[in-house]
Amino acid sequence: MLRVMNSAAANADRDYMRDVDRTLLRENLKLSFEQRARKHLRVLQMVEELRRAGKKLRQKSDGR
Amino acid sequence: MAVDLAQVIPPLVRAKVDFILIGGMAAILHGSARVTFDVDVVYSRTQGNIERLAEVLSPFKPSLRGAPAGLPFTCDAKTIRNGLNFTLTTTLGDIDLLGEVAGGGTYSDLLQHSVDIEAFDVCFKCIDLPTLIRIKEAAGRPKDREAIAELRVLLEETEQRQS
Repeated sequence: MLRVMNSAAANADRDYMRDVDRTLLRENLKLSFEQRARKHLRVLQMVEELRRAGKKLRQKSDGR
Repeated sequence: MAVDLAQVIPPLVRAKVDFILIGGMAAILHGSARVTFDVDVVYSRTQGNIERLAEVLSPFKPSLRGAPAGLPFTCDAKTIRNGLNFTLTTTLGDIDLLGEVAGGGTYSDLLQHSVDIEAFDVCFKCIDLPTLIRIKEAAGRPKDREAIAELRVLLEETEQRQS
């Protein structure tokens, strides 16, 4: 039973790995550590901006 | 608030705090394309290091993340000595201080599994990719499965680049 479960988990892991976008990772690996951190920060700032926009939108629709 | 490694790491290094960067930010430095919102560090539990850590973090007004409003938290050596792992909100962003981590152990245990990173005009220690994978696996959180898969692919890609 345990072997079946381990095998299922291994298959699931392989499925996850197949879905990883290697081109994105290869691009990141070309960057320096600092460039990778800066790129992540830009994405993070964009996520926060979207969150703020979503919050404003919800507040606006709640106010109606 | 978006936590910026360039703001967090240099003060720790300049204050001679012994720490190892782990978690999502370590994954970013290894090339991950995922988004992470906090900085996780494993810190040495020696008295001197705890004092340096408390002193360098204090100006950034740390408070316990997710704790009830008004719950007092004093960022001093005594508090850190009496605890182990702290999830903090600071003016720099969210920072997790870990005295020990499942699947990895303490600062001393992890030292041999860390690499030196030169960035932000300082040199600091970051967990190596195989150990980062091991720690994520030990956490056993379903939400980490995709992250682990990405780290495994990164390990393959890194090894291919090196060979």
